[in-house]
Amino acid sequence: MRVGRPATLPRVLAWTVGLAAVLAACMLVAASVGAGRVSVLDGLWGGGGLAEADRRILLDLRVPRVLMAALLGGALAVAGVAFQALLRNPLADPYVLGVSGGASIGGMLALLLGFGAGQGALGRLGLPALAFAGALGALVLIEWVATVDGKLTVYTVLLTGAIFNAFSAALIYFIQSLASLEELHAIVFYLMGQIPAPAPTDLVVLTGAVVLVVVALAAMARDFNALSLGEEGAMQIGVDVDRTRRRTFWLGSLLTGLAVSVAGLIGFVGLVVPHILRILLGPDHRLLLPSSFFAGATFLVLADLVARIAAAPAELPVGVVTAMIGGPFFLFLLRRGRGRYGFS
Amino acid sequence: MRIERLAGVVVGALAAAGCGSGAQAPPSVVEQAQRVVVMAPAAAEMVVELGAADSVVGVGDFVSGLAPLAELPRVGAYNAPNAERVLELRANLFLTAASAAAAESHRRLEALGIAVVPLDTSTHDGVFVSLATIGRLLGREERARALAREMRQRIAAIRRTATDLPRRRVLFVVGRDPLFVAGPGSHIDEMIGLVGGVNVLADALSPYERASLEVVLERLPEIIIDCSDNRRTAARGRDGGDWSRWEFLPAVQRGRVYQVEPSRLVIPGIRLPEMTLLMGKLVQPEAFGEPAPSEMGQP
Repeated sequence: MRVGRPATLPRVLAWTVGLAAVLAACMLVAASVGAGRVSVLDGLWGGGGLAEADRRILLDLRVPRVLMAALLGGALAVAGVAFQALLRNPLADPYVLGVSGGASIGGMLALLLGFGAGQGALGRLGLPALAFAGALGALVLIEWVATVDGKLTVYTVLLTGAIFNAFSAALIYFIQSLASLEELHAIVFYLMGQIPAPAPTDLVVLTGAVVLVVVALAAMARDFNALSLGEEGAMQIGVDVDRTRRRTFWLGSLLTGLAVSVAGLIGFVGLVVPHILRILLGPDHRLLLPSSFFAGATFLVLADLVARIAAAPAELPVGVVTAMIGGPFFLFLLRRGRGRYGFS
Repeated sequence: MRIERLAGVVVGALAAAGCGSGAQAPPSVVEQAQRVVVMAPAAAEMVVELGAADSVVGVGDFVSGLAPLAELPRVGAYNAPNAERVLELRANLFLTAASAAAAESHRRLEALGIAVVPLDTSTHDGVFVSLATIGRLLGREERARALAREMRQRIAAIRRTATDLPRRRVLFVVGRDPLFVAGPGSHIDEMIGLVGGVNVLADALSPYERASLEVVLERLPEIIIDCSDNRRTAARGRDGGDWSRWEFLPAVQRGRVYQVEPSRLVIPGIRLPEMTLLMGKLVQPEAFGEPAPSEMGQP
């Protein structure tokens, strides 16, 4: 029985390297298969005989999109682990604290201002920038409201997040009801989530930001383990509970804000992946955090592959695929893993 | 009650259709159709063209650009008409677009005793059926028939001109981010075929489909018609726009990317012959002449 086993360094390394290898293999498959016929294998072993159209499809569309899916999947899964640790609640996902609501409002305003279809830097960055600003605004507001007597309490942060999300939903409906048909169309698809094929510089910047936050969260793995003992238990072993919570809240929200601002709302990754790994690997965050990053990345890469090819030449919204694959698979594991679930 | 009323209109319309050329519609139909609310832009154009603008008492929010209807009260979007407003106008005939999204609101209006006639103008055939239906309901059958005949003749002439022209691969864009294109079953696909073009997304599953950019690029369109941007400030005419990024596309290399105001091509109706001619100019300029910037919506 693996669940109870401690996360020793060799075990962490073995799982991390193993899952990273699985991710690499899946990314290769995802880059090889698409709605178009060209494969990354043609590029690697085709002897340079790739037609210009195929080369551009591969390098400008498919490969950046696969990289983006991996990055976002990893980010969302790690944010999910962090929020589940922070709130000690298995229902927590990256969107539970209201940051997604703020980002959605920001993104929607960008669409109404016409940034979505615009050209140049403003067209490309206007939407993610405003969405991220919305996420940050929500963060500051929620932290301010949820801080009672100088402390960030779990219940107030959860409640504030839920109410803020409900308020954002109402605001979104309000704006939708005033938007023109075309704007409505753009808003609906933005909220549904889609993985973009970013320009190389955007991808580098985003990767840097995500890796930084993920590493910062991974460094807090011991504190998350302590939080699972409860507030008193954590304090007894010398963890500054309020500081840990606040930092988790910020880092997890930043990760979520980054993901939502570039890709809209992609559900299920941040909820299902951490839970599946908890069932498989146990609750130790030293193992859970790095594993979640690679497993989340793999999950979203594969889900996006399905979204790209299942109905070709049409494309499916990736959020639909994550829910349709993730939901049943999670229920199956939950059923099989009864009594071994790693959440106290 | 509502079924009886609707049945009355349908029976009346059928009876009118059965009458010989030149016969007046039965008085009951004309009487019922004296106060019309028209929601669909295509239907509104038909009503005006048939000389029945006087019977219109209200219009939908999307109806625009028709002088005789410009001052009329607006009753909301096609899928959410304001029933109170429609009753207030004492309308007895509600001409609208066939739409699943609007079905509930249609049922509500019917329950209030208003005859709802949903029209499908999304295809060429649908346009002609709608024109005949409106002609019947408003007692303008002969005019509707003459108009349909003239439209058919003009479209047939365009088709004849295009018969022996080389087939060109055409991409028709109706939305970007995400990419939406016209597929089979849309009137756009029909128009592309009429003027000697081949829709690169002819294998799409639906008339308007969220398409894979990979597939679109791989099929190397020779002509791209982009109707995705309906803002007044949008660039119009021969303009590569965002497509210039894919310089390997034949359409980009030959300067055959057109930004066209959506109303010029996307909303079918009695302007089908003009639309088909514009499509001909965009796809086969050698045969139909280069399209003027004003035809594409450039002020």
